[in-house]
Amino acid sequence: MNSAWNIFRWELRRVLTNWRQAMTIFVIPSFVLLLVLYLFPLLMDFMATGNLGRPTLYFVNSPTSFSEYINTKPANLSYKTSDMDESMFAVALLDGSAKALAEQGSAFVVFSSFPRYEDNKDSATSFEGELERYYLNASSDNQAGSLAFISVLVDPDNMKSTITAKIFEMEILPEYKDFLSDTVGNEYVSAGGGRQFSINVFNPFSEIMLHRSVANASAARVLPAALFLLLYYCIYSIAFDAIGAERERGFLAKVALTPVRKIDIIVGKAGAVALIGLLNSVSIIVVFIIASWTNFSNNPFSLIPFGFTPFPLQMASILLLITCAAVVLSLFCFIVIFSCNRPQDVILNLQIPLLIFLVYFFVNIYRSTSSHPFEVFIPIHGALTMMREVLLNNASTSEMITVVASHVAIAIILLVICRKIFKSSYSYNEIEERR
Amino acid sequence: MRSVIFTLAKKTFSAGIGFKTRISAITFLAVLLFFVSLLFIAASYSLDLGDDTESEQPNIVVFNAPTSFYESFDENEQRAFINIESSTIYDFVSINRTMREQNAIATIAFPSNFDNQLNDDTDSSVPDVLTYINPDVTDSSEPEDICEYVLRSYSSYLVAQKGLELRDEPFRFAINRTTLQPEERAFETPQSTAARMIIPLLLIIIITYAAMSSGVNSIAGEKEKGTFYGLMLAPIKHHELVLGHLLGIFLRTILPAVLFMPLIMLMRINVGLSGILLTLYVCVLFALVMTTVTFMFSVLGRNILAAQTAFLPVFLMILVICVMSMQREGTIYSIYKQLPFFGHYHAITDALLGNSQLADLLLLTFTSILMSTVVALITIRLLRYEAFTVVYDSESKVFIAAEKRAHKEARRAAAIPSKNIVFGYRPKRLRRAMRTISTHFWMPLAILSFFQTLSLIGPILNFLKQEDAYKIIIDATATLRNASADQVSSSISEIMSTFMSQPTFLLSMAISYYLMIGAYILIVTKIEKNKLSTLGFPTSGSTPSFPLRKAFKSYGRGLLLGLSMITSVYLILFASGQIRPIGIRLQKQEIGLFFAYVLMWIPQGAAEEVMMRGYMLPRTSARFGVPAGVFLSSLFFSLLHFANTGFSFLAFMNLLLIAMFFALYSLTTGEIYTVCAAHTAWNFAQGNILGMSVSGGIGSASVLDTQYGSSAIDLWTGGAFGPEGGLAVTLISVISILILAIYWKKTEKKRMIGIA
Amino acid sequence: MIEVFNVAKAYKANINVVNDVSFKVCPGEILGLLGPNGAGKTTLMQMVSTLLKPSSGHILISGMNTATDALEIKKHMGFLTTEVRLDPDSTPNRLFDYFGRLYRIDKKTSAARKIESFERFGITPFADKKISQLSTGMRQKISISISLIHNPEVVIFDEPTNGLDILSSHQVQNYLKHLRDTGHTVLLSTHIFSVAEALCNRIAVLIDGKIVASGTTQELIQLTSTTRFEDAFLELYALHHIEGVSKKGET
Repeated sequence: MNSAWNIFRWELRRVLTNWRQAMTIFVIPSFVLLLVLYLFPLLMDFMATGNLGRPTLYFVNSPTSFSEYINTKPANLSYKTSDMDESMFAVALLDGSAKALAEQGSAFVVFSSFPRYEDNKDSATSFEGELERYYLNASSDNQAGSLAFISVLVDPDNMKSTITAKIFEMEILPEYKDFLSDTVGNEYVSAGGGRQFSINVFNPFSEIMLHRSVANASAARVLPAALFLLLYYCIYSIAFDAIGAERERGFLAKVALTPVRKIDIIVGKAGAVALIGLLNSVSIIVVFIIASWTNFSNNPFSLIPFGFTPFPLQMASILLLITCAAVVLSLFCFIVIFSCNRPQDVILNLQIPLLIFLVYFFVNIYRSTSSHPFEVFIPIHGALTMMREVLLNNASTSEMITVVASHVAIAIILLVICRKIFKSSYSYNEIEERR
Repeated sequence: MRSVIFTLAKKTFSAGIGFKTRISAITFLAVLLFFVSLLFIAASYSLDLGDDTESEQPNIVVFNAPTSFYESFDENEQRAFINIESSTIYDFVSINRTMREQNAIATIAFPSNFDNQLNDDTDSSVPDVLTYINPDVTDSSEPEDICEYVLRSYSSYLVAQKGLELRDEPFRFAINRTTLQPEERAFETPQSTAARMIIPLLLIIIITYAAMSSGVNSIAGEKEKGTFYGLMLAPIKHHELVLGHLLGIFLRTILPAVLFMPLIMLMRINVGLSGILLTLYVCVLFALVMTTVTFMFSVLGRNILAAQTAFLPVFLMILVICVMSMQREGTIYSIYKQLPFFGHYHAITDALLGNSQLADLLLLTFTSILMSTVVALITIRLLRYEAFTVVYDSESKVFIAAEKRAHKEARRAAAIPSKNIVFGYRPKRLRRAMRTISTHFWMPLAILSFFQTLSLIGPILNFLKQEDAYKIIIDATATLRNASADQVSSSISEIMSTFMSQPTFLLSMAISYYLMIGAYILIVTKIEKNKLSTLGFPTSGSTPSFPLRKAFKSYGRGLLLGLSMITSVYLILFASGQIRPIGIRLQKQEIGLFFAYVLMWIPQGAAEEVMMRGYMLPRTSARFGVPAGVFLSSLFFSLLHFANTGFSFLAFMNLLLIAMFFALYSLTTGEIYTVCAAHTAWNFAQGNILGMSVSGGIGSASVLDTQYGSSAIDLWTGGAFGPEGGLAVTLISVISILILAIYWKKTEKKRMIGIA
Repeated sequence: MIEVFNVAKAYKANINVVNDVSFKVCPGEILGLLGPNGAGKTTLMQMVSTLLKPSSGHILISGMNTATDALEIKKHMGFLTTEVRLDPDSTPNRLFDYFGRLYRIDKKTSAARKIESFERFGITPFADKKISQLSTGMRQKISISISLIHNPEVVIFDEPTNGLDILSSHQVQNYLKHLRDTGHTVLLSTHIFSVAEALCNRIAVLIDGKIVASGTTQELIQLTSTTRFEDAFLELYALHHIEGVSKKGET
């Protein structure tokens, strides 16, 4: 066991003291990931709209109460506002400029009201008038109904335009309603209507949790596969260096000729490789969290929205899963390297799983179902799916135990195979034959 | 040469990985596992459908529920809630614990004295209700919606208690998706989804992967095996090496894509043969780009692993592009269909859906070929360094780079063709192109501004001695504070014109111009250590000898030339009625000023000629060739007048033309005495005899008093900039250049003999 | 004909691996470069073979400068070094054909040379075996036969008998003599005295990047007033080696 520990330390030092390699393993993937996470929403935005500016909300025929409300609102990062005349809007609709604006991500908010049958045609109803009538009725115990109508016109093909409309619905509309009852609905409120209590005036926890649940759900789609892709990449390059390159240099033969048990060599090397893979994953998770928490603009196209927060238990489960996967993957790489002699064969055999992980990445982004009960038994895939479930808070302890147990079992089987191949390729006869 | 390329291509095509590659059993097992897991993923979809129905009603925890809430809840909800009395409604840790214990998804926390606050009419403050959602529930909308619904119905219950009823919202709201988009959208079929999302992605991944496995490994693999050394020893040109490998990699890259084509047919996409061929064509373009890119990484890497590592970011980038292209719906900006990567993805989609546009495809072809060519050229360049880094990579790199540069410079300097040599100037070493240009742009600018500022000091001091000077300055700053850029420049030119009417200022200007010429002479003789003749001032000592008498003769001829040119401009304008002389303006007291002007124009013309024609022309010509030298020096001359009032595009063109004429003239005579004089004569006659403004400067002390005619058109006269901003000067300078060209042609034979 | 004029090579500004070396090898002559490990032999060989450029001085091969006419020189020069390895998946037959095409030799000539060369070195029985299955000596012989594929006028061999047994070594030495007698110019680097003594017309001793002595074996022995060539070399080494100078470029 002592010799396994020695080999483990030797390998670890070899990788970590070589700054070039350390850089390749830790800095470059993190950097690339960060870049992708930051650039992706910008590029998407640009692709969708042809510009990077904020979309504009055009308020057509807006009533005075709305203008007053908008003026009290501080400027927003995600949209601009602009007033528009009804006649101008009609022209814009006809000559297609409205469509062009919507293609750039803008949306048109039209304030109108349905005509009332009891009114004569001369006094056409207005949005403002309807509101006043509504609150007057409400305060005087009449059954209050309103024909006022707000409709948002968007380009359904343009994601940004649709999102702009959603922002209006979610952020502006509820506040405007409250504002209305405070101003136009004065009489109604003084008669005892209006709000009796406020909700969550100060409650940062709910705020954070809302962001977190959105972000964690997104992370569940993106993080596991991305993490496994980069983890595998890291493991395969170090494993290749630790076994393949050493074999080419003849150093492995030298180690094999020392009175160290083969299994110790494998355990030591696999342990080092897995640990470095684990460290790499941790650095990537950190980058992921940083990317999420610095995503202030919270662009709707972001791969990882603002507020990704794994709780300690989640984090622990994720690390446990990564450890399991890292051990299995490094042993897998070792077997591949031992079973192929030529470097190009090794590279090809090691690259095929990389391709598989790539496909997983897409599968995971578009997958909408929770896991099948049998998936936990499949090595690596089980860990990946489990991590997804952990991030979605759907994981159960029994499933977790199953995944870990299946990985341990697989690791032991792989270790045995690895030892066998290693032994057979470095017995004395074999060396002579290779010469 | 061709056979070498094919040999290399064949070798690369069949090398290594190829068809004899061994797939190890465990890799096969991994692939098998992958498909099994895909099956389970598919199975999970069918499982999910059944799962949905049996979800149980989640609990809600309420802290300090008031009695009215009980009533409201009974009325609206089918379920019960769990009430807990507690005063710590902000302690989210304990609340979370409670939620977990009770298996609840949300908590509504009322303040403990909520009922009192609600019923107390004297208290105007509004109590705050808190909501919490269970952090373990990922779908946030569910608990949040429940909270909102419960609280809203509670609120309306409270209002209804007071006898007020709201039947609906103050207004209705809808998102309208049709008005802006009246046309029908195409129905999404499985086939079109495949064409839009699956096939292009697969093709691009397949091609990228194939290019990576054969391209990245090619040279890097040879380096790792040690066979690259042998290749470098063979008498193969670098471009042959690159082309041969590229061909082999390209075939390897395109092969899987070709094999994929029948599969597209199997997917029952109705594309027809032309669609398949178009798809294949786009694949060929993409494979071309990927081949060159991967090969470049292969040359860069020291071994396979290093090259693969370096290539990973590119792979990820291509993936990101694929994801982006997949998510894009609706109209696509056509530029995306013409750029590599984006364009390839969209072109495959379009080919499969039969929407291909010829223009986009042609432009995509062009950009793809352009990109591959550039990358291939870079690779050839990289290989040149590779030859000497095979053995000792890090130490010799810097050294070899420096050595190569020196070698290249020496060779280039030696190789300056004699036709590029103007005024006998021969550079000692060759600077980089950009550096040469920037030097020649900044140097005159720096020298001009330095000496002109120097010449301003005297007059400004003089001006400050006046009693009302400070008042003028204060007034001026007051007006400047809220003036536009236009007003500022006009007020500056006003100040300049007052200065221009002071003989002392003119004389100090003259001195500064002499100093400028002196500076240039010093630069050439002391710093460059060249003869004065390389500045366009041949002397009796230079070869061929140019005695002083000849110089004077040239100067005289120049004066005549300038005078006649500006006079013809004047005559054209006069004949066309654009201007009319209204008498003699020069007064007796201005005679001193007049002579000061004479003294100023002489060095002024000479200084500008020394800068542009004498110094810049031979130096830029030696670097870029005579035509470029003429153009650059004229361009800079023109740009130096940029800040003058009334500068326009036409003025820019005119100055360019005049400068070109002067440059060409000095080339024919081999000196700049003539053009110095011509420049002086032109400016002097223009400003002080004919009474027109000189390049935006307003002259005084003019002999003739000339004014614009009533029907004057600025296009011809040049307006405030003077005739140099008008078409008349364009005409004259074009004619002059033409005459010069004819003269040049005629004397060509003579000059050839002269040079020989 | 190889002419080396005042050649120096520096990898860092102040450390000269090869320092002011001049020599000349005529057709029909073998010049042996003899020196301890790290003396700059390999660097010098690489400069002569156009793979490296001299920091100063110049090298002419058949009258062509290595710095500017590398491509043309490669056509007239065969270079053998341990650095050149053979593709382990290929066979001698295929490798020979491949390089034949790279050196632009027409098929007939190439085939004839292959037969001759393979016969000479006894490669023929192994012509279709994989390189990875062949012994080190056989690989070296294949390397030699491939580097002489184009019948070059100038032959540069870096440690040609490395790893060869006595029989093979003898074969190679005989072949080198044959090359010399047929008017080739041969530059040889070695640290094996018997080879140098037996083969070379002249020997240049390279110590710390400088040629400290050159001449026939007899001349060198006389110069140092010793009796054996080996002693002569040791004497020269003791005279000229300065501790701590040569650190870079160990081979």
